[in-house]
Amino acid sequence: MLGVQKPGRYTGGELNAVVKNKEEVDVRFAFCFPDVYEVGMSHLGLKILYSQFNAVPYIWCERVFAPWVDMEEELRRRNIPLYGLESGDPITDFDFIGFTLQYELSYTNVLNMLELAKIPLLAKDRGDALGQIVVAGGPCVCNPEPLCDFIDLFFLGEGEEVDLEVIELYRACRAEGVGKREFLRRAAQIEGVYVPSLYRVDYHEDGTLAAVTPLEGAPAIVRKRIIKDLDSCYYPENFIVPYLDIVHDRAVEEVFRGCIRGCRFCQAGFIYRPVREKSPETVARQCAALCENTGYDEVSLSSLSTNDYTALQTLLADTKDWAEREKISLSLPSMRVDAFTDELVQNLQSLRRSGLTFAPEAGTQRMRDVINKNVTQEELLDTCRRAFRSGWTTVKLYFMIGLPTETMDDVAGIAGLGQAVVDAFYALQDRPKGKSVQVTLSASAFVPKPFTPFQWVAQDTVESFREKQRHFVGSTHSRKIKCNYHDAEASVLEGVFARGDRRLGAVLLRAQQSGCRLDGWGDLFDHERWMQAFAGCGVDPDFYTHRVRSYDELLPWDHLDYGVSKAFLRAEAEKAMNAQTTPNCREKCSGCGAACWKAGVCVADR
Amino acid sequence: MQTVRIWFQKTGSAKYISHLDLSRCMARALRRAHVPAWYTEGFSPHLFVTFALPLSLGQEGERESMDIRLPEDYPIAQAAEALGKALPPGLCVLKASLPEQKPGDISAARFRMEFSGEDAVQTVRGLLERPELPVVKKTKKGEQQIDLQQWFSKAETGGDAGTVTLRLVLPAGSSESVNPALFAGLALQQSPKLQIRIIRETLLCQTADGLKEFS
Repeated sequence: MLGVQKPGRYTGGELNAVVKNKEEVDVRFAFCFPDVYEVGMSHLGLKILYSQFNAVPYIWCERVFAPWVDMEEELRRRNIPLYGLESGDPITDFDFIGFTLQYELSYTNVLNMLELAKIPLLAKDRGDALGQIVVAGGPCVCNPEPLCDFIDLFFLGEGEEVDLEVIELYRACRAEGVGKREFLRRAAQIEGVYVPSLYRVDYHEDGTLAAVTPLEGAPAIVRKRIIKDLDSCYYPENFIVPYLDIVHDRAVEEVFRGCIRGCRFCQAGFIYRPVREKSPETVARQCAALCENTGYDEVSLSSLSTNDYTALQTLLADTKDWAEREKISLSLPSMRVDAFTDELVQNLQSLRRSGLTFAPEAGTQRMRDVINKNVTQEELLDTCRRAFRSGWTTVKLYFMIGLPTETMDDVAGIAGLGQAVVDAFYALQDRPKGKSVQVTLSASAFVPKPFTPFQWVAQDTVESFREKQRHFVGSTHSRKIKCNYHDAEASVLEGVFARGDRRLGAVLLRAQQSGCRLDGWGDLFDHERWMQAFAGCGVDPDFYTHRVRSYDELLPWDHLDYGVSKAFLRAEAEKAMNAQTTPNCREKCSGCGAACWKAGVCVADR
Repeated sequence: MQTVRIWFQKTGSAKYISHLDLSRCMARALRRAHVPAWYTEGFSPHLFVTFALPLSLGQEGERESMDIRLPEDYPIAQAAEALGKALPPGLCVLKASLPEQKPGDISAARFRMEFSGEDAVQTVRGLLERPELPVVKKTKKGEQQIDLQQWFSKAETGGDAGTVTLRLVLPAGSSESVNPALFAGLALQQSPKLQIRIIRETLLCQTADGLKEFS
């Protein structure tokens, strides 16, 4: 173990890790995060489900992470199968092998982890014995089609209830002595469960989808699950406290799910609807319990666009004394440009430590209207001025390149906005004296995602991205501005899998077999090898990315229902092309369809 | 405020906790234990903590120490007990005491090395019989050639069938330091499948009466 970097990734034994007696449990669940320890341990979903599963006496849930390349080499060389961190037992001993799918470039890690665990990669090769059920959940499950060859069962939406229902069914099936196939058939009847082997997929000659046909009584449409009331929903009072410095090393308190904004590029903003909040009392109580049990001195309030939490001021006021007494700082990782008030600055100690980060997402007002990012340049400049007056001198701004209808002027607009921030600094009479300003502009490459109004658009090509990136950098003329951008090749590959279909399973397998994994880690991403995998399988990646889909095309995820209707997404797409904005859920209901759950903002007084 | 020295063991899988991670882990455990340890009062307050001598990653320690500052009226035995209960597996508090020496006074440490595996006995004996044990020690100033023989020739040897245990004193501290992992490296070159445990038993200070346990 000492031959590898950071052996602490592979040893387990951290505070609050759960060790049970395997003879005394009925169901063993391997929670597999398809990335390295530091990334996976920062993930809130893992913390919630790990604690919730382990709170059930008959379940023992353990953690498994993707080994870094050095450890992978050791495991293969010594022929050690991938193991659960708590028991050290091989994954083959487990009843459930559950992956969370957070982003498309981790798909090869899923395959690689199965291979390291010595579990057959293809679901059809795993036999009918009830055990080693490979399941997956998380946001990418809204289009799980590229992984259908490998996964037995997908969980759609929020897992707190449906996961336990499936585990319960598994126990019943085992008691009854039925096989895996029958278990899957029965599981498909549970709302929120998608069993891909129970659907036949046919294609037209032009390669587009012709039909997705349910078999053996599986539902034609699978609808996601949500938790309607977050106050009564399970939330851990205890986190595992790692030794290693993980990416987000602090307590995390979820304050709401969903987002009222409806930014048109943002998948999370649509698939997590409707917005449901926790009461400030619940939040305060859970924060205190977490800090007490973990010893963390920082709690991050987590959600999309956290400023939209209606009780934010109340919460900050109510927790102020506690935070001061216990030397605990609250942080707000997701902050909108238009919400940076002096009051907030005073209340959030951690804000003072780190730099300021905002996401205007696009450089011109027209472009921001297209994506429904309802933020103006004046609001951004006001916020920056306020920050400069309070002593900040560094600002980081996030943008996307390659948005629908984008022109070179919009790209240059990103640099222009950066320059406007620099100018605003020097125009201030009361700016921090003796200091210079530093503006970082970070531009990622836009990837169209399912269940967004942009699910039909063509993604930019690698060449087009590169030309725009050059134009972006070439349009900045100040040494006070630093430009960053993402690798276009990886973003285009992400685009292929985001809107892919089942034919990509073969490509994925071939890529993994030829050595692709940890593709999200820039230096390990091997574009050439990926292109060989596509060519070897006779699959054209451009079909998935650079093609405009027609509104009546059957999309690979059309049999999955996330509450947001296709008609609504289409109406939003059409408004986008005319640069028309849509008000947020609190201003006016736009009739997206999520009201079918009669929960949260959909039933609140506006 | 007074400085209190907490004595603890770091064994088993806790040997994989690096020095930086250990200080973070202790800070959190002190918070969970509600031990009122002193925090620095600067721009970004943090726990004031000093470890006598960092332990290499992968080595165990049977008598390690860390200094914190506590209010004078806070019973030091209570600090030891409360912290002990809050620590994760592999870390265990022995006691708390008022420091007698400064960490800078440490000049040596006693180590135990346990070798097991197929050729353990043969490999270790073979190395000890050599007239010289040259190794390259990497320091901040560059590489330095040293001969381990001068210390390992004085090692007590023991062990059951098929295993070897060496106990010896090596220089340790700010002026000169020799890591037993250098010897482990030589042994692994000979026999790559050896299992080697390295345990630091205690820290020592040079006094007028010879080496004395750091306390």
